[in-house]
Amino acid sequence: MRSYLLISGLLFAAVTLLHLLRLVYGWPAQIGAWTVPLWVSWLGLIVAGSLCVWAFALARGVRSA
Amino acid sequence: MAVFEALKGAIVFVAGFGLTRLVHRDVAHAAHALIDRLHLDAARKFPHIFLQLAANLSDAQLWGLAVLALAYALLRFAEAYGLWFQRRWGEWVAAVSGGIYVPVELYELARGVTWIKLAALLLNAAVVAYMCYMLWRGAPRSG
Repeated sequence: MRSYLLISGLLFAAVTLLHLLRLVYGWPAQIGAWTVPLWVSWLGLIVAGSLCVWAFALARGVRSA
Repeated sequence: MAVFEALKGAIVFVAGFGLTRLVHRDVAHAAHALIDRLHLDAARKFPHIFLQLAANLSDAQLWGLAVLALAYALLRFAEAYGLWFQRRWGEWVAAVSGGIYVPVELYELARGVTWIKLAALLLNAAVVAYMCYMLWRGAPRSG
């Protein structure tokens, strides 16, 4: 369980960093014909960052239980 | 403190990534653009030094700086992990990596007192003191 939470946390951390890089350097992103606006990365940053912190918080609880 | 260290790592990671983007490009031009964007006077001491350094940077040096930035970011992430999970080694890393800046900050303060230098020293000294206290105490704590 703890390993799963740690891996989840690391994956969400990676996604958070990618959104941060896109925001800082203004990377374009496209899905099919739709150009993904930059504000989507703000949303992604907050959501993925929150899930990352959540996963690590749960992992810490599992360890101390 | 763990979250703060992770944020520091993320900022340096992003900055290091930016260095790799400057490879094969006009670094001096990018440095000028940055100085302009920050509304700094290029004729003043530190912006001038920054511009001179940027003008003489080779691609190999840029890669070297980017690797150093990545190593620093990884150290900060490891420290954040150690602090978050209340590992003893995490506190050691925090105390030592913060402590190595104290002599430099004291030296800078001796050269001339400014509020920024004083605040940096006090903040860093407080973090190091807290980490030393935690190591000395060795009791369960929150990250």
